[in-house]
Amino acid sequence: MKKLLLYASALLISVSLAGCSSGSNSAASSSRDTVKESPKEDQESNKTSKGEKKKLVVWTFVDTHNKYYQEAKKEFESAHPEVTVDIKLLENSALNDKYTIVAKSGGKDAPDLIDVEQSAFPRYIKGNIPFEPLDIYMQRDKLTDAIPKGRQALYSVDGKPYGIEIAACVSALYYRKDIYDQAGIDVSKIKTWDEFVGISKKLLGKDKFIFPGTIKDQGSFEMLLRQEGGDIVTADGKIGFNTPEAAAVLKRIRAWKDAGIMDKNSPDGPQLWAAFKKGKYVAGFGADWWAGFLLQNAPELSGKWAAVPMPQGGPNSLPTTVAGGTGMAISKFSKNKDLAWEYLKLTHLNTKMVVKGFQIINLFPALESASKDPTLHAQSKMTEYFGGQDLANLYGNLIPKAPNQNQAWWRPLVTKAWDKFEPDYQKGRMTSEEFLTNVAKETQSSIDAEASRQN
Amino acid sequence: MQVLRISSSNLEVRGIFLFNSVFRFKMAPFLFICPFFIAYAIFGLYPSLYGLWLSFHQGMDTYNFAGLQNYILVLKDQLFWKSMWNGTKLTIGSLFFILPFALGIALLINRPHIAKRKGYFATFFFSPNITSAVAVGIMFGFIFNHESGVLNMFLGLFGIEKISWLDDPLWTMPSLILLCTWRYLGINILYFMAGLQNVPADLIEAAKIDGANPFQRLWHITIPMLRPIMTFIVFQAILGSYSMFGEVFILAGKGFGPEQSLIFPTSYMYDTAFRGNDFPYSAALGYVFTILMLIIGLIQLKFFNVRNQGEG
Repeated sequence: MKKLLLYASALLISVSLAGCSSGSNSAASSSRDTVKESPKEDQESNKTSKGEKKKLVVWTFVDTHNKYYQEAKKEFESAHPEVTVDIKLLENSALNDKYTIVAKSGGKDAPDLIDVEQSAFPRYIKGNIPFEPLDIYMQRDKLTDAIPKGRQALYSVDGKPYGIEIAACVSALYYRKDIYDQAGIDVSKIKTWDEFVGISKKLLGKDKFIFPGTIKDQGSFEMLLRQEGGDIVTADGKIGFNTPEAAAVLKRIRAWKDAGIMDKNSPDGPQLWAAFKKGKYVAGFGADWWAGFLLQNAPELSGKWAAVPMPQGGPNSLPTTVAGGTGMAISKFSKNKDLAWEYLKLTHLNTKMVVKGFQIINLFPALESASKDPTLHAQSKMTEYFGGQDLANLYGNLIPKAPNQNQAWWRPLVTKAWDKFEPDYQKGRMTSEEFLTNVAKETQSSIDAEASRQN
Repeated sequence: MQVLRISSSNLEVRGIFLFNSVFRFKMAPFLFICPFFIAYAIFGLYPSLYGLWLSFHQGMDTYNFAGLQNYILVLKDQLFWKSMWNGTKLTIGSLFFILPFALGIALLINRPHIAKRKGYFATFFFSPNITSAVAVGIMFGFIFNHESGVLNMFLGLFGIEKISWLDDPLWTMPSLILLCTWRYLGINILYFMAGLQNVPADLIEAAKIDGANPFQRLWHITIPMLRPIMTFIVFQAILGSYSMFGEVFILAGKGFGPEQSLIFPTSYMYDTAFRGNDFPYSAALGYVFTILMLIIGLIQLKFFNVRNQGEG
């Protein structure tokens, strides 16, 4: 009897400890992903039976998106009482790694909807795309032209859209109007970069630049290249940065750095904004979210800024460019695809809701019909920051002119090739043309190597 | 003859008795240790075996048998060898900078007048070791910042020009060694201190009487007596250096650092699997890496003459 009790207790301890170990593993992964829901709940997310509510699971990695989706959830659930929407906020890398694993293991525990940051999208478009193509849904609901083509290209493969962008991400030139006015410069009349740079030289001084900059030129290069009508990836999916226009862009950045227009290495994080406050930098170009960062981090400069379309460079130059973005996709493994589309439609393609979203996320929406809504043009902290300027009007006018940003699975390989050669380029050991040729060759070689391994 | 007359029922009884005694004796310990083996089988053994199976296949969505093709490609892969070379450089930094530094501090803490406060020192040096790799990566990203980093500001006090710690390929490895020194110094000090407890005080005393100076006592007594613990410490340092992941993942951003100076075997494996969607090749990289680590480990064991370590 004693022995029997011993076995029983040993078995009990073993089973409970084994349970502990798997439990602790789940807990660890949960904490990594900042998901507070138990795996059991996950498994049941798509299970429905009579009398039970259907559950729509949404994964996002941005807190403001989370808040907006929570707002949309109320509306959606009141319109669909049989459904509950479960929004999970995960860290960006964890979200993508987790979805990759879920997709590789047959889609168990996959969410119905997922926010995908544009730079993470390429990892999903090599091989079978784990998202639902949205063309049929968009055609059915006559929404094919709701989002500008340039923004839609970011989540399209072979002409089929797999995600809907939330923000327009159009860029403008932002400048310290008080300083330029004091110097007698009317930036709104300036048409080209050469003009802007030439006239801004009088504002330079010891530790005073026009733009912040980084040692790595890739970010500025990509933005300015798109302004010239080019892109890292061509519309037909080929390497698009080894061109005379691209070399001209790279030379322009170098000339700016050499002339002290652009800082060669700006501080990071809070110190960058402190430098703006001190007047070390008096202008910047970027998407609407960049202006939002400025407002958030340098509120003391409210009323001192203005925004204009970007001055133009070469003959094919546009008054704007695009940078960044996040699209929402429907998981290929979703068991409630139609419902997921309804929720996606509400959050990204419903004018009234998108306008509400603008007030929460503070990103100028990609949805064209929303850009005309009076709410976006009303006075706000943002317009106040820019001296009462109607920024929505500026962005609204730029959206139709915005360039495409094309996608390819190999786009991340460009960064790796760029990093390989940039130190030599920055030290003047190769010209802009030689550098771009080397990066293009290295990228092509990596593409070929990866493609040959998987064929 | 009597033995031959034992009936079958007797044999059965005896057999059951024998079986029960063995079973009773051995079953309970197995049950007590089985939680580890269950967890290991699920989370360790199964993924390893699946990885091995995967490494002999190619494809993204459906896997086709490819024999040793992935292994041949790994051996020809310049990026893999670059990552191994970076691991080697970090290993050299760890072995010739961090470990002697840790030994020096351990010897200092072990001195009688400081030994009473060694708990305080141990806590001070050990705390970086329990900080998450991601937090360390972010923190050192700020420290190494060219313009606003604390390190450049400090060097500026001595008139030293700003260094591009993370943007100049010449400085990325020294930056990483500095980071590792801060992070792993404490744990190595603890290991050395544990080893120093096994150095007999009377042996040191005898050497002193014989006229050995402090360096001779260190070289001829302390270090040879530390050999068993050093075998372990050195292996840990080698393995840790080649397997560097979290910190470089944060410091290198989306690339592999300038001139690929921040690519390590594990970060290459991660990139191949998750960015490149090539899990079979990543698995092959993992197995080649493991085999290389085993070879390096065996060479190290040979170097430290582990077999004869127990002999007086």
